[in-house]
Amino acid sequence: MTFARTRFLIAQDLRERAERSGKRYGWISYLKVLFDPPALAVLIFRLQAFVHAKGFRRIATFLRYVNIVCFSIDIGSGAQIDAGFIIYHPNCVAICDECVAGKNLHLVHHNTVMLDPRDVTRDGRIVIEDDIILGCGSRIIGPVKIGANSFIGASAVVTEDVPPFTFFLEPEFTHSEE
Amino acid sequence: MERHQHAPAGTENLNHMQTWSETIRLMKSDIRRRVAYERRKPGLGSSLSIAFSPAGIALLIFRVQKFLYGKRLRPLTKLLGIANMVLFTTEIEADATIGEGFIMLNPNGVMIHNHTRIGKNCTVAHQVTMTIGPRPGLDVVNDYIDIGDDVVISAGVRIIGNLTIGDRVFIAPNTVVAASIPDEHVLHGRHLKARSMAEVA
Repeated sequence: MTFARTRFLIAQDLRERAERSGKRYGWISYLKVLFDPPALAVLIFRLQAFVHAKGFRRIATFLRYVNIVCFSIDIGSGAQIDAGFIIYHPNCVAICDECVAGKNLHLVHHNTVMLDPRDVTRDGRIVIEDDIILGCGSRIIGPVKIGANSFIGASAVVTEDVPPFTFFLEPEFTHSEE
Repeated sequence: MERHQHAPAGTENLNHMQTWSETIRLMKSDIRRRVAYERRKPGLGSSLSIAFSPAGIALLIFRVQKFLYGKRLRPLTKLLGIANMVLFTTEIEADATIGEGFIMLNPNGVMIHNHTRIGKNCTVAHQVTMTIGPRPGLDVVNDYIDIGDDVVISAGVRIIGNLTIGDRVFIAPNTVVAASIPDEHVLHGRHLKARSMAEVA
């Protein structure tokens, strides 16, 4: 990971974010980051990944802790996430080191992407392809692969592979009287 | 699986005294189990980096909090609790009982109520809630959550009510637990359905 690559990823993240919120992308986007916690969290993660790739593990870990304390976002330094990464609401997001994600990954909030806690070997990978939206409260657990252009609904739990172009929803609930 | 005998109301804190050597032993066992879980080489370096990771700090703060609670230093306990909340959004109340070898994978969004007793070698993931209420029929004094040994609780699990969970139980992500679970069970919350985009549109 070179610095040029990191700068490209940051620019793509900001461009995607500006497009999604109906604003113009330009150099002013870089200043706006300071007043935009979700974009700032993603920016810190990009710097963290760059520093980690350069071999400064301690500094990468420090940046990760900054994210945890400021935004309660915990993204492992080893996670490989491609351009166009957006977190809409920076609250309680956890992504493990073993995650490999494609372009335009959109997280809402309260998402977990991690290996199964029962898994003792811990050598699986979580592969997320391009253009995925993870709804709020959705959990992706264990070595799984999510196909491109899928939508994972709110509070859904993914523990098996999901084919591309899938609408993955929780069943609807009905209320009952006491 | 047997339910713990609860002390009568008003005498709880005498029952929950924890000596300093006991506190140190619990801290060491937590760190040792986490080092083994992360598959790192046991040694001073890995122990220190585990101890000063956010999850490690949150647990250490809780262990100290529990010790101070036994010494009746309530204001200090409160302060440490607030530190945990502000720094890591973790809320482990001081009177909770947590056995040795406890692993908290992520500190964010974990909430453990006073009336909770957790056995040895349990693992808790991201955003787990264990509380006795609010719910209809709540009894603030006598309701307890008892959790056995070697229990793995996955991300987003809510355990609510007066209930007992046995040994070697696994609770799947995003499950709401409102009834007791016997030993050696796997609890899966809801069945999912996958639909293709064409079907939805």
